[in-house]
Amino acid sequence: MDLKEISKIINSDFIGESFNITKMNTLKNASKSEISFVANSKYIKDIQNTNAGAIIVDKSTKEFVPKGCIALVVDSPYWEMATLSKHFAPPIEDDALSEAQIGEGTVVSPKAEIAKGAVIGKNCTIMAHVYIGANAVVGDNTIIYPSVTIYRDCKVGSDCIIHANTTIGSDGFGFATNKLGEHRKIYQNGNVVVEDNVEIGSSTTIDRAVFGTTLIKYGVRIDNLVQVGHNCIIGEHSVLVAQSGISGSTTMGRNVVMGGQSATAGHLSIAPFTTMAARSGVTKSINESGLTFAGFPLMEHRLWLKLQGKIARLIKQ
Amino acid sequence: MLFSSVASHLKLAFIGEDLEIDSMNELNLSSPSQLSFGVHKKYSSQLSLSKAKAFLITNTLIEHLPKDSSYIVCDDVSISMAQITKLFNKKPIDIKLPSPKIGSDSYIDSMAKVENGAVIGSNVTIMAGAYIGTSVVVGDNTVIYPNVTIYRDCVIGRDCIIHAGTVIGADGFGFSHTKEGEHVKIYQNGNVIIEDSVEIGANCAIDKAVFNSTIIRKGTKLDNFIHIAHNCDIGEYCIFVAQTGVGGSTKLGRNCVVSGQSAFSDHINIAPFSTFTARSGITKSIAQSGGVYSGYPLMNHRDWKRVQAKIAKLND
Repeated sequence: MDLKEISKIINSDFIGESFNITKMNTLKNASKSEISFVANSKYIKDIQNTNAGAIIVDKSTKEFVPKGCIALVVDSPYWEMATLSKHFAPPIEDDALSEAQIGEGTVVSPKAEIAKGAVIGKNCTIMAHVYIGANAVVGDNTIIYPSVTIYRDCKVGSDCIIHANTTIGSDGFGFATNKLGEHRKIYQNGNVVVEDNVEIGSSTTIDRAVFGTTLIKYGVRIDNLVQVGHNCIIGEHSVLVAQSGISGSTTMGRNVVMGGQSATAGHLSIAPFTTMAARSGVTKSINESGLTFAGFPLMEHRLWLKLQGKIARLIKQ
Repeated sequence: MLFSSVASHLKLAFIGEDLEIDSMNELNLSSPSQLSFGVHKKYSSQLSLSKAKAFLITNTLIEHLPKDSSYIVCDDVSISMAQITKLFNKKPIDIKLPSPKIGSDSYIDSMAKVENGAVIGSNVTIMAGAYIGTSVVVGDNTVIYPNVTIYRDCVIGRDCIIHAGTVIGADGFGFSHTKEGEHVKIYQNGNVIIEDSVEIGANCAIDKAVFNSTIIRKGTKLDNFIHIAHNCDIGEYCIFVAQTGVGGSTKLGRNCVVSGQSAFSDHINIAPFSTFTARSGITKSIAQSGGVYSGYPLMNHRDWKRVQAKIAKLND
């Protein structure tokens, strides 16, 4: 999309020559042909280091925009970013794409739906009522049980098992809110990548990234009714037990265990080999690896046991 | 399958007679045609009483084997056991079975799928997007709402109502762990049995047993978003409110009431007529029936209220 067109959509002017913008991205990941935004003064450092071709800013952050990067000044950059995201959203299905490719030995139920542009590997089983979206990729030997939905552009590796009714790549929960309390959708134009040898239980949801990728790495095991928010990275061989929830942009190292009904806040980083007991509520990043935690607020499991002993004694007093 | 082919799959030697094996089971539930396994010394008495004739065991358990057993000594029994479950796992679909039998006056939407070998009773309603797997049995008058999935070999009773998006019989969450931190799948070769007059809400997940059955007994009612893990046994007339969860192999007696967002640990037994208020976290067995409990860690509801009053005063 032409930068001039973008400036019209968000009611902003700019100085310099217009050029073609291919997509939206974060300050850190944007390239010369991409547009980014800054909605919070704590990202000033990221503005100065960005490679973005253009940035949506407000008056207060305009001065930090580096040379060679075009500033589009608006009152509310986050709101306008949401406005613009709709214009970069691909169509849900795309008839112009080539017919889906199905590998040798793969069985696809006549009641499954595979959209154009999808590529399915060898020896897969795709059962009834499964939906595989445009340009989605599935590796070899993967079993997809009934009513699983894989949204467009998502990738599932080889030797995976995905149980019934799970949804991979639905929109991340992202909205801009104005002063009137109204919410405008931030179109989620990224995808989900599930690496090889991953098993995912039934009725679990893994949301697509707003930009970039929500990533489930090699050998991960996910139970039933688990929620993984947009832009998360789940490390190799991690285990997410039933009804646990991982909020957006949280990153886990390898072999992290999340007990049943445990949950994390967003934008955290969890060290490898961390174990969270059932019902843990994680609100801060964990930097030291190999520890076990419990409770909400979170504490080391040892301490939690002691504290519960003290609470039990309150009854007798 | 012959015991010798189990051994050759593991690339290990077997000792004793070569036997025909039809399936696997736990030590105390095995029949003579089943393969069982002893992982740990604490199972030595169960091992010596087992009716199985073929075993995967550790070196230290050989002396506790029943007389005339055939056995394979494994370095890591749980990993070997997981590898062998794959040999007994059935494919997700079996198209060679006869076409499904549908009882009189049953309605099956053209957008639903019923696999071969299934038996549907009379006056059943199966709505669009529902999936009834290979050899599944559904009793009379049962209503199955859209997009429900029932995996192969599961049994649903009569007069049941299963709401949209619920999944019955997905694989239980069972793995053996290697020293390198990888998880080896234990194939789940059991099923789920839902008895008569059970109602299950939308988007629930009830997993199949590793061996044998996960059971939801007569007249139990489940709300939405409930997780029941493999090998659970939920007693008659229980009530589960939304977003509750039950860990593997846990047994509840009849008429338990489990309020919203409560959850149970695995391998515990709960006495009949127990009541749990919202957000209860149950980690230990309850032997006495009729109690009312709250909190996590769990306590008597009366005690929990006293603790909450004291905590409230801490802010004064």
